[in-house]
Amino acid sequence: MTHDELRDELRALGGEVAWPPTPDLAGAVAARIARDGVPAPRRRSWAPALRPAVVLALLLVLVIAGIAIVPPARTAVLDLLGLAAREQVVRVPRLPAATPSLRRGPDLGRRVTLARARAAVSFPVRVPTALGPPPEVRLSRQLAGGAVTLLYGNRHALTMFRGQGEPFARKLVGPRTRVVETTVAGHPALFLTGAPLQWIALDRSGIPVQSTARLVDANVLLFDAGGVGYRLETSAGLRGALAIARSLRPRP
Amino acid sequence: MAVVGRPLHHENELVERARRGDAAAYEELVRLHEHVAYRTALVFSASPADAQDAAQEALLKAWRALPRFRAGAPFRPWLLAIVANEARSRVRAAGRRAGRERRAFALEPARAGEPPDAAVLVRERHAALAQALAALAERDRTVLALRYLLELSEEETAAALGCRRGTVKSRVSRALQRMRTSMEVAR
Repeated sequence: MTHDELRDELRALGGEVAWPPTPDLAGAVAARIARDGVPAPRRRSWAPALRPAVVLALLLVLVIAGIAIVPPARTAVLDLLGLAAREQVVRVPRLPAATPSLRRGPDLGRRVTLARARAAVSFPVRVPTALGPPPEVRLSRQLAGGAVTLLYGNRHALTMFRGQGEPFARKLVGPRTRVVETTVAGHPALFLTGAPLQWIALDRSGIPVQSTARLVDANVLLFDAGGVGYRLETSAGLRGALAIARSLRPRP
Repeated sequence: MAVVGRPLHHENELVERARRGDAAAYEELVRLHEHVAYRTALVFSASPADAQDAAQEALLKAWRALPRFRAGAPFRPWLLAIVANEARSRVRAAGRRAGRERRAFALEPARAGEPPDAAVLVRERHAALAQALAALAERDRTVLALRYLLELSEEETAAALGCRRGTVKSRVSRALQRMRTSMEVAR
């Protein structure tokens, strides 16, 4: 292959890489200019980073992996979304079999008081004022650093945890589940709605632990703030879920 | 990918208006370049979220720096240089912190109407190509990504990398050679 041919092939490959959708930079910049006049630089306090060009490398890996794994002619689209590497959302053509399970599954941990949960973990346990004091609190030690879940009957379950860098959970969503990118107090968030999804725990090396795969028949709002991951499983829609998340006190 | 096709006359007018402090003109100008600005930031960044922050911050810095922009000079290379600088400096700063983040990547569906046999061949070729590109050193991968995946001009690539056009030519040539060699070895 000559250099010219390789150049042409690379240009064609550029068309294969599905870049993440471009955010509304013009709108965001215009809003900052209107608000601040001459805007001040902003730093992300929560987003750690890898070495440079990791995104590009991952894009390429996904091209390779997708070509290798996804069914013939790549009619299926594979999306992988993650939040600070703690939870990932993977779109698949079809959900594998899993046991429909309850939000009150054993993985939520033992029942404790709110005060006990706060004393047991190193991150702030926040309560959504929109829902009030939680009728039930669970403390799990399955994750390093612990996880605390506030349960509000069968309508809402809010789990908080401190991620340790590696993904620990993966959500599989089928074609009928919508994934909406949004924000909570300026932090990127994902809202999953429209159809049941499957929740799979991962071990430390990122291998799925199939025994804990379960179907989640609820809307899910995922976001990270201040190094803490939040997962709200709720019967509320996007607006309601955001209202709950934005009412967390103290503010994330 | 479509990152070209800008009516220059209109762009020059927007630049002039923006230089005089017209924020609406600057918004329109950013709208023309936000795709390529974001993707350039992606090439240097550790995550799409970081790329978004870097691109946004760079666009605000460019707004502040517009009075120093040389009238009549090409706008896009100047802008991409600011975006790439911002993304690089954020990666350097973040490199001191531990952690990982992964987000949004996807494969596009096959193009409609492509004969199955051809599709298989193209798929295999692209897989080999992507593998060889991913295996290159970061310096080589970056220059090829800017120049061919994003289809930036030599001038724009040079601006993004902070080097001369001649350096881009030689770096591209060496990177292509290394890629060819690795693909031949892999056969």
